[in-house]
Formats: sequence, C-alpha cells, structure tokens
Amino acid sequence: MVHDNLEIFNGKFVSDFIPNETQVDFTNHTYRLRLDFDSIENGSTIDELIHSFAQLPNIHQCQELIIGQWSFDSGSEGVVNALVNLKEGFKNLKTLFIGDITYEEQEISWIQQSDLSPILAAYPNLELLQIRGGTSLSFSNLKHDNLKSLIIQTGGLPPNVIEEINNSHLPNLEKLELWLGDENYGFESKIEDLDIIINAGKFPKLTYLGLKNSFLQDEIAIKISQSRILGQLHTLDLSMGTLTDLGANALLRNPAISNLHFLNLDHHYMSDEMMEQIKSLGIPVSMNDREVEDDGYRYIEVSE
Amino acid sequence: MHFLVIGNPENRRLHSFIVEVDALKECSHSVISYIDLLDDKVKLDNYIRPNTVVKIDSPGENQTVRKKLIEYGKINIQHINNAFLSEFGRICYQDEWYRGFFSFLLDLKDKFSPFKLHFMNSIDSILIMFDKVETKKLLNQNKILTPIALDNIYNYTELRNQMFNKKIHNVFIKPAHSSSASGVIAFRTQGSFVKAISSVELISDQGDVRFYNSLKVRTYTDEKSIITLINNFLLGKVSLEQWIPKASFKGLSFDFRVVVINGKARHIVARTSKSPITNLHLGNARGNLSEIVTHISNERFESIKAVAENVAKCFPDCLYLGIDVLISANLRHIMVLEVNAFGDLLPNLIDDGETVYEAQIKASIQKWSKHETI
Repeated sequence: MVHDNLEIFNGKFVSDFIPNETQVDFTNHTYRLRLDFDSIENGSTIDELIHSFAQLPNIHQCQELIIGQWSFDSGSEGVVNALVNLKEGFKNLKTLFIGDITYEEQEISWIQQSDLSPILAAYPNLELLQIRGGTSLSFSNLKHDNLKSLIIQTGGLPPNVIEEINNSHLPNLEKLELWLGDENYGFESKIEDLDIIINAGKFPKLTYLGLKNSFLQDEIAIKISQSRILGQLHTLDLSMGTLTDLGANALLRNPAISNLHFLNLDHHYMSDEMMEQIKSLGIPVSMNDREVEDDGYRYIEVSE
Repeated sequence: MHFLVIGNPENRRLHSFIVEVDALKECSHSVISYIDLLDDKVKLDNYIRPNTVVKIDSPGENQTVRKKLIEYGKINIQHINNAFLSEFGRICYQDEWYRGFFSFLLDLKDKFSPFKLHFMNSIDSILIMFDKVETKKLLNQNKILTPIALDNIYNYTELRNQMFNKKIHNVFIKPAHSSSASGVIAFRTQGSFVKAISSVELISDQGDVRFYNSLKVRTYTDEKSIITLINNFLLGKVSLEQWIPKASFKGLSFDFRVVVINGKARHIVARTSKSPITNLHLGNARGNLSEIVTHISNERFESIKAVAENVAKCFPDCLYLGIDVLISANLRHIMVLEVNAFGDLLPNLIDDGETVYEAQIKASIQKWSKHETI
C-alpha cells in the first residue's frame, strides 16, 4: 500500500495545481495535477486540467510534473496523449511522475497504465520517469538517450515490462528501481528473466539498482551476490520484500558489498544475528520494519 | 457546584472525571451507575443537590449494562440469544441496543423532570448523536458538509447498482448506532475488483456465520465474504456514505477529532492511520499535530475548527461534543464524519492548561455557577 502523496520532489515542494487559484512558482514548487473525488463525479477530466496548466504563460519554466489520480475507470492513455500533444509548452520538462496515487485514492493494482513509449519519444530531454501502477503498463519502444532514472512502482510488474527493459536502449541510465510485486497481482516472471538486469553490462552507467518489493527477494539477493554488478553500484535497494537470512548471507559473501554507499534492506525477515553481521559491514545500511512470518507466510510491502 | 455522573463506575472515563471534580474545592460529585438505574434501585433525591450538573457518560465496555439495555427495549426479547451477548466481542443486536438505550434515556428524562438540573449534554441530543443517519440529516439541514449519503439500500446488489449509477467507487457502511467503529466497513470497487476493509472479523463455520469486533483491521477481497459481511450489516439501520480519500502526511492518512467545549474548538488530535478506519483503539496513533497543521496550513486548520464549532451550534443544548472532521486528499474539502456524544475520552491531552475533563468542569462552572437552581 502506498499511503502518502509526494511532498517534496526534486528538492521542491509539491503543490496541487488548481486552475485560476494557484499562484504558480516554478522555482520553489513542483506541481501535481489530479482530480479529487468530486471532480471525477462532476465530469471534470485530467485532459482539461493538463491543458489549463499548459496554458500558463511561464509554462516553459516547468521542469517537473506530477500526475496524480486521473480517473477511476480509464487508463493513462489520455494523460499520455495530452502530454505528447503539449510537448512544445513542456519543452524543459526533465522529471515526470505519472501515478502519484495513494492507497486511499486507489489500490495500486487498480491503477490502469498504458503504453508510455510516446512520452519518451516526445520528451528527448527527460531525465527521470517515475510510474506507479503496473496494470496494462507497457513500453512498446523503450529507447531514450538521456534518461537517467527509471522508477516503476507496482504491486505486480507484468512480464512484458521486464522483457521491454531487457531489450531497452537506455545508455545513460544511472538509476533503475523496480517494485516487482506479487504473483497474484501481475508478476509472472521467473528469476532468470532478471538476469539481463542483474548481470553487469546492460546499463554501463548504472549506480543505483533497486529490485524490490519482491517475494523472490532472497533469490534476487543471491543472483546479485553472484554478479559483477555490485562493483559498479553505489546503492543497492532490496527493501519492501521477503528477504531472509538466506539472501542476506549470500550478499555478505561478495566483498564488493563493502563498496556500497548505501544498502537498503527495509521491510525484511532477517534474524538478529544476520542484522548484526550486516551492520558490521560498516557501510550505511537501513534495516527498518522487521516483519514476522504470519502462519508461515511472508508478505511483501505493496501488492494489492 | 455538584456534578452527578451517570456511568459505569469501573470505567476509567468516569474515574478520571471525578478526580478532576474533586480537585476543585467548590465542587462535589456523586455517581449513579447504569446498572442501578436499569435495576430501578436509585432514589434520585439522594443524589441531587442545589446547582447540580448532570453528565451522562458512556454505558460502554460493560457487558451486563449492554444486555440490560437491550432487554430494556422490550421488543422481541424471546429472539435475543443470551449466549451471543455473553460472547466477548460478538457483534449483535446493535439496533435492539439502541431501542433499549432510547427508551431508557427517555425514562431517565422523565425521572429527572421534577428536579431543576443542568445537563452537560441533553438526553435528546445524545439520542440524535447515537443515530448516525439522524445526525447527518441535522448537519445537512444546517449546511454542514458531510460525505454524500446513499439511501434506500438493503443489500449488496442494490449497493453495487447505486454506486454504479452515482459513479461512486468507494463507500463507508456504518451501523447507525455503533460506536468505536464496530461494524464499520470501507468498501471499494472498480470493474470486477472488490475490496472491503473492516475491523469486523467474519467467522464462517459450517454455514454458521458470526461477526466479531477485533482490534485488527482486516482486508477482504473475495466477493463471497464481502457479500456476507455487507448483507449482514445492511439488515440493520446504517449510514451509507461516500468514502472520501483523506489527506496524508508522512505515509499516513489523517483526520481530526475535535472536542468542542462551550462552543469553542478546544482539544484536537490528528488521528493517523495506514487504513481508512482511523479510530485510535485500532492501532492508530495520534499524529504530530503541529507538523500536520504546518502541512495543511494554519488557515485550513482554522477552517476545520470553524466547521467543528458550526457542528456544535446544531446541538445548542450540549456543552461538549467530539467531532470527527476530514480534509480531502488535495486539501480542498473539509467534511464532518461523525459527531460523538461520548467522544471526550482523550487522556493527557492539554489545551490551554486544561485536560478535556477540566475544561468541561470549568466551562460548567462558568456557565451555571451564578444561577441558584433550587
């Protein structure tokens, strides 16, 4: 479950943009466009909202944009189309988040995404793309020369997206964060399907790897411990999943783990002893939210 | 000034209140228990002195009192299964309880009528507040915003149809006479997906279905259980309303419990939660109010207080009220969720140097001490 809307994005305060009301200040604020419960019922659309935002006289100063709740019963195609059509106005856009939607607004697995490739084609200067919701998500052509960060938050990342990442062309990618999710909510890949991402080589500039929120967290940790990728990373994020001593122990066996600047293992199932061993690595580590098995089951943090 | 408290003497509410009364030299107290009143063992003359203020406190958390109140309703007693009532946490006979509580309080009003008394909260208002449907009507008549109500729904199919027609995807189902979120269900749907969130524990055992209050908020995703759950509660009187996504801060959604005393919004807690059900006994915590106020802006916080004070104007014969108020996710809408007659149990919460109970006592003195009533 995702409980929080963003408050700070790219170092700026996040504010909801309300037409004819918000005093826009692109220097200190990032704007979020979203429909509240009443605008959805009275027929307002995200398309209108995006258009009225794009008509601001200083819109070319806009470098970041957040799209929140757009509707209950349609996918993100409308958002994609509007942003593609309005690309001239948003010509300085560097950071885009589609789907800043909390659990109170909508279940993550109920968020309907769409093919987001047109965004990549229309915005060649985009540096960060963040997506929430894996249902119907795809990238028919995952190519971008300048994208530095790709963050996909799901309760179940569909297999086509993993395949699309495996076949992608993102030569400048520095950060890849994937919330893999649960098999009951759309994750259908096998651990081998992550080989291309985990084995060094695919993304030469990658320094931040997050393969998280997974029920295969131990297997992922083991694969990473057997890969040369640890040598190029400064951050490894295996949080939100079902990591136990098994996966953690594997990580400890690879000496390159000590080169990390940050290791995130929040929401885990490790023992006290293992947590001590991880701490003794002497690198910055986060191991908050230790979970306990519930009748033999281990749960990931975000699924439904 | 003399304070007469009607309550369950073993309850911490009552205890905390009388400790505060006794701390003041000019005040005294007496207590009448619900049990004794229900057993008709009370001679009111013995408890009433000049300038007496009556505080009717919660009858809750006492199984015997609950049982006797249900019996007081005198309707269909033969249908009441005592075994259900003695089972801890079992949810049953909520409407029967209200029927009994209603007649009990009306009789109590009659018994009090020969005396000149001040009531902190009037019996009539307490009865309205224990009916969420009536309370909502009263608020709406006074132009106070509440989540949109769905009416005339008696089963799951009707609920789904009405939600579909009104394009409402999220609703709250609240038994009209419940307290402490007992029987409250948050239900949402999108296409073929359904989900219900509730502190109700459904136990299905060879065709025998039972419902219990629990301290854990559960998520139901299989439609069969959801239908069973919802149909059960739709058999009784319910307040059905749109579930409005609340604003969130630091990973938790929040709403406010505002205690209004003598017309002024006083003690306020932000109730923060990972679930849509924010009641503090369900593992939810008081949030850091000053941080949350900064987050939503002082101006909006003042509006929230003003809304709560407007609610209090709808109950002019009440000295205090516990009002639950939400601000919507994009901070644009302020709405009233509940008005609680016994929503004043907020231990250790200080406003202007006073606990809630101290403030109630001081307000009573200020309001009534000048009048000699007998």
